[in-house]
Amino acid sequence: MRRALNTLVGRLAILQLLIYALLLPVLFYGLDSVVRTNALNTFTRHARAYTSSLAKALELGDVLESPSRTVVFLDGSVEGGGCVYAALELNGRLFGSSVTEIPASVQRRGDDVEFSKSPDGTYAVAVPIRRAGAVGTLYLGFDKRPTLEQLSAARNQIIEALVAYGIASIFVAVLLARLVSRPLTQLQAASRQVARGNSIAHLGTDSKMVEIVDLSRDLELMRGELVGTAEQLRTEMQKRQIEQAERARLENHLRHEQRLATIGTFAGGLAHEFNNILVPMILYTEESLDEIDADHRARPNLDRVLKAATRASSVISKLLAFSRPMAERPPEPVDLALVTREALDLSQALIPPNVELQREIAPGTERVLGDATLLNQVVLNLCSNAVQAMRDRGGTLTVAVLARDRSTADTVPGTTPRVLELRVRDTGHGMNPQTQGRVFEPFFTTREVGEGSGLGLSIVHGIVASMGGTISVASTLGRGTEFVVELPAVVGSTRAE
Amino acid sequence: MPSVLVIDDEAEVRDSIGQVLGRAGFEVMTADNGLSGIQGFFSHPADVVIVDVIMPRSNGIEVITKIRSSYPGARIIAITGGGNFGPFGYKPGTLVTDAYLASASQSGADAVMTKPFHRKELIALVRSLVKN
Repeated sequence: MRRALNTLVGRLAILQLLIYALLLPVLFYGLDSVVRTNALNTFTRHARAYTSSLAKALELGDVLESPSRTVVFLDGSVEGGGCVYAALELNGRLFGSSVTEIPASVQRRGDDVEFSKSPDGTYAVAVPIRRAGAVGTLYLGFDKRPTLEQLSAARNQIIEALVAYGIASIFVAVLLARLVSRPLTQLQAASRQVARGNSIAHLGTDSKMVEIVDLSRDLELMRGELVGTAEQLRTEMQKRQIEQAERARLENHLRHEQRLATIGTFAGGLAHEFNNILVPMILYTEESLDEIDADHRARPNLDRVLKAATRASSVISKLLAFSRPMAERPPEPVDLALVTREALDLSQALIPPNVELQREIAPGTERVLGDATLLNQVVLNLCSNAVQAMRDRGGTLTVAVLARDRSTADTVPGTTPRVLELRVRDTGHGMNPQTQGRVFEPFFTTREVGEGSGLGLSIVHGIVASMGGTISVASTLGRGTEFVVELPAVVGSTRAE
Repeated sequence: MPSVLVIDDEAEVRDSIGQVLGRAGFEVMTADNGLSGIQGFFSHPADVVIVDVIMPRSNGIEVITKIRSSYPGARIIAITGGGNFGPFGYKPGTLVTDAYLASASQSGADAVMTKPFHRKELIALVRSLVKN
């Protein structure tokens, strides 16, 4: 209800009603009073003039000589003036017309003067007469009722006219208001569509009103801009999100690298400690073995201790590969294809019969900057992992080396925009996503205790990273795994091997 | 009786090397840091010096250089635990590397051994140096 009252039409209607509530009564009373005054004045004037002229006639004529003629005169007066009564008082004698009744109080009443003086329907006029020694008064009574009836009718007409006017004008105002409010509603409906995201909703109306046309044209312009801006914002947001995701990925990568580097340094110090511990372990055990006879009961156990200590030493050697593998040896251009072929030749003996080896090694002139021996170890390690994964059911080991353009826009300073890829693919048991995420962590292994130290891939990662490359893994549980090593390519010749 | 000076900051390393060489017929002297090692050698020159080149508070290389400069004929074995503290690089898969041997001549040591080593290796090396 409140809302209806607040609309343009509603407000206009209320405003008009308020104005008319004040105005129309004023108008009514004004008009009414004018008409009334006019009518009454005319009436009384006529009545008085008539009476005066009759009185004059009596004064001038000789009607008063004869009483019968006086009565006839009075009768004539009634007829002529439409009077209610006519009476003449002359020298104390009262004559009245024969055709009407003479009210008893006529003399007492005298002249009403004012139309409204008496509540009865008669207007009494009394005019003095003077004629040759005679003094009298002419009394005429006029019927007020027709006049009053006319006044009443006039009043009704005024009321009707005012009401009709009021209604008509409110009606017209409402119509005019709708001329404005309807296009506004159209614009509003379209705006809501735009606000809801329906950017193609046009802001327009079929109104011809200048202000509305201008408004809708400018709103439409604004909509166009808004839509454009919204699109821009959306694109910006998407781009921002992608950038953030990329940055998060890079940050993660960096953190990972840093952690590995820290681990590398830590590993170096740790290895040093362990080697120091192994010296007394091995020396004292060997001394003890030297002390006892060949058939001493303790001999076999001491042998086992020694064997374990020797194995520990070999593990620590591998750990040491973490600490600055490249620092002391200057990198040189290495033929990755050649190194891979040699590594595969060397490991041919270690590939079980149920594993088929497929080589896809593309020859080329591009080289990577690094250490041939370490790259050798990378290939061997990856192949070893692949073979391990296919140990139970066999499968295919595919080793590929190829050169291609760098996939991202960044380039490593000092290198060409080309990379050399080493891909080692197996059809073994694969890895779940959790394992994939941790596979390059030092000491992380899914193998049984004693089967592997879990250092191989972390060492590979360290070597690849120290050459400015990347290594990634893709795996499907039950289907297989592929490792991809990407190394920046350089143009150069291989040092004679 | 030939004598050996063992300079290493790790007590267990010193003692185990000392026991092995002692039982193999050598007179063994030990020092736990470079300075006391050098002083010990100057006051009592040993036939063979075994010195750890990676010590946290002493510079093993300096020890070798100092001894060599005063006693050009001294026989010195450098031992190291590997790792990234030393001047030697590391080649995975081997215990004694080309890099070590190359660095050994740089530092002035006659031989290099990487920890851990076998009792027989240790005795054989010390004996071979004493012979010369």
